[in-house]
Amino acid sequence: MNTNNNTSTIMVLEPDAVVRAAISEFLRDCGYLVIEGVSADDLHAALEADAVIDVVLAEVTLKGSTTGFELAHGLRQTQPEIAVILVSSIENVVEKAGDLCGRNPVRKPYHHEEILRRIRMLVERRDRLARDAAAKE
Amino acid sequence: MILDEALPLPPAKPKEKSTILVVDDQFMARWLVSEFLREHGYKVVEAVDATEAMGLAGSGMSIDAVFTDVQLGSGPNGHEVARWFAKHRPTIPVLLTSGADDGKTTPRGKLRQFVPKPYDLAQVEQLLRAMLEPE
Repeated sequence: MNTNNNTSTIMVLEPDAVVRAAISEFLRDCGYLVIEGVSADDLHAALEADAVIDVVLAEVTLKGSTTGFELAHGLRQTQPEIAVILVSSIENVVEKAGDLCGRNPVRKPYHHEEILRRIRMLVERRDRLARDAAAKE
Repeated sequence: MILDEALPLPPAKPKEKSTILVVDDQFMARWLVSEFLREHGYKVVEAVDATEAMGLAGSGMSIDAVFTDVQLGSGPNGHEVARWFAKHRPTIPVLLTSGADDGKTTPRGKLRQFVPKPYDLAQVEQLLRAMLEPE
């Protein structure tokens, strides 16, 4: 779907919705086009729809049967022009998203600790809500 | 040539950058509608199932309206998402869609609407805009 040659597209593959939403919003604010997904199947569907993807920022543990490692290996064989960045924790994904933001023309002041704090707060609130709901059942 | 006459009108934009939570377990459907809404000036948060939708809403993320498929895989469905919002975030409008359900039994009102699948993206945007309009 991306036909804009001036804007790089990043596909964020992250199974945690809160982390995915926060990182994707951050990267969009940095000027990237972002496609969100949770599995290798989502990446393949986007590629089959002729999406031009420059970078895949993928969690090692994805939804579905394919891991981030397997996805990276497969892409190296079939589409080596797509860069793959694997991440394995919230700290890691924030750091890598910050690096990507620094490389883009639309740079944003990047406060690693602030983004990390916000994501942790969102995750904690969500998990607390889930625990409260489970306790009521 | 008068350029102003040749150019199509720009798409109508929401008054403010409203945030829409799009819930669909089908990647292509979710991606297409999310991108369309972003191109029309909305901020979009995506969820792949009801649990994610409720988790995002419960995390404190700002959400102004929800657009959800009724069929959401093996977990809770879109009607349950709508009921969750009615209970926990009762001022947030929910637009439901389905390809299997004709929506005749879906309660309608300012805060609950239904659009059948396959839907026209512009129609979805218009419905959401109308639901976001203050009384």
